[in-house]
Amino acid sequence: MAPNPRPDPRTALRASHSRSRLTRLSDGLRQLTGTRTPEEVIAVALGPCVAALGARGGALALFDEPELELRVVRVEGEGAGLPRASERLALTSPSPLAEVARLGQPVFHGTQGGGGLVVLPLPGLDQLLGVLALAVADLARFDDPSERALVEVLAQHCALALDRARTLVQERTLRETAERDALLARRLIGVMGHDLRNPLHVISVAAQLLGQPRLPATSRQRAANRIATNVQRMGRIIEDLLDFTRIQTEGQLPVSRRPVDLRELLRELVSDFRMAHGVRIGLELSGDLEGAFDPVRLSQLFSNLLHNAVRYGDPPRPISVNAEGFEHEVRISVHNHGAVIPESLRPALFEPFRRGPHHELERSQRGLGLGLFIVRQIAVSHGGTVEVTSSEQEGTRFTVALPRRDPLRASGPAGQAGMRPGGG
Amino acid sequence: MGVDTVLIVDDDSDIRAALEEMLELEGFLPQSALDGADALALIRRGFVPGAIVLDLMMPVMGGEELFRMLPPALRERCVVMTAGEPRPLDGVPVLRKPFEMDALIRALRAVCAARPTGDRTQR
Repeated sequence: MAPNPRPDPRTALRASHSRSRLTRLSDGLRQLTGTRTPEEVIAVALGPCVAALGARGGALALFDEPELELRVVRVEGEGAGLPRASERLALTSPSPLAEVARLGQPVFHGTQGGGGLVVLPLPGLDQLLGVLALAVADLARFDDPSERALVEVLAQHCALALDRARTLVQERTLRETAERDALLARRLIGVMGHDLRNPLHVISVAAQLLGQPRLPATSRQRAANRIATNVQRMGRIIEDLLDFTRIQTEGQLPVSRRPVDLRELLRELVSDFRMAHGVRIGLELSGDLEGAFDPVRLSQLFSNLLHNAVRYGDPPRPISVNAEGFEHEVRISVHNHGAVIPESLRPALFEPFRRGPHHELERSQRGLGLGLFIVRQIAVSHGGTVEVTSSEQEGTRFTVALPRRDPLRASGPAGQAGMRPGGG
Repeated sequence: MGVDTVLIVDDDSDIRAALEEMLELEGFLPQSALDGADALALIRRGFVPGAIVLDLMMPVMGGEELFRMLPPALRERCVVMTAGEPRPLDGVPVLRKPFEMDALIRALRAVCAARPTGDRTQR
């Protein structure tokens, strides 16, 4: 092809614009390669990349669950035809964004005054991820195939970066889960060693004492008592470990509901605790406290909370248990005075193998660090919640809210946002 | 007659109590400490145990830390007990819980026999 000796000035101007766009685009693409999370990719796509294309604004929408819907994840700048942030677009809607999502082909959609909306598919490696919409002042510019190619290249790179960032996030999550599991396994082995061997040793020494013919009768009785309490201690540890393992493998604790009056359950439990620990416990019951619950699990839940209140409470000041029935739920709180749970410890309070900060507690008085973890799991298995407040003035209060009946089970865990199963 | 004092260092009250009874029965004079810091305080106040039975895992001051802070003469009088993995500690006898009391008594008698004579509490 012969070179044109006298170029058209308009063509020269466009060529110069194209070059400068290309420079800015390559800068945008470089920034895309540095992204690590989907959010970063989206920010670069709608920031530097949109600016590089000389657009006034842009929006990015991704396939969301349910898959027949686009969710606008971010909007930058403004322009006719751009959707609102967080807007949901059905694939059947007349919006140009939905059209591109349906067809997988770019759409150049004119708006008033020569401007327009350029909507591009975002093709990932396996499937269409969503669409990128650009509001431009001069739509005619895209009559030029090289301009079209430019924006399509940009969209493809955004899609690949998004795909890669999602994979990175998934891999990071998997790695963190594996590390967490390994840590829990190490703690579990530690617990098996120390927390079971100590009571076992007490039983062993007491049994050897009982074998001594010279042992006085009082010592004999003490040794027998020690064996009994330490057998119970081991029994509780084993039960907690079994529950922990069940939660780890099955995701939650099995709950078998039947009609239960929490008044009866709490009265009995509190009275047992008063006797066993010689502590003052106030009990206040109001409203309808009947419902469908697992009585064995709820006894375990409140017993764990009461054990905690006894362990960490201020002995001369009473513990109080308060239960209140509402229309759809019951709320039970266990309150104690005493040292505040530091703010920094609260997020991890319900995690497994977390013990309180009170190191001075006797070993036989210290738990495995599974008590509150199991409390939360029992509440969750009932469709309920557990919360804690702790301050110098108000003391520490754990509040459990339980729906009176089995709530409708939510469908499985939410899928990866924006992932669309099946081909694109 | 000379009696050997034994310092029991364990954070488990049941273990301390059971060991005290057993050692008394075997003719020792037991004294308990709640953890390494408590034991060190006793020793600094002038208590000289004939032997020390110490648990490795304790929250305030563990057995290993206490061992490192003891004067060399007292280190030789230690018998270690542990509920976890036994770690060797400079040739100190280690017993893993649960252990036979005979093993502890033998270890304590060996420690006491190795000591210079005359270093015994007069009852």
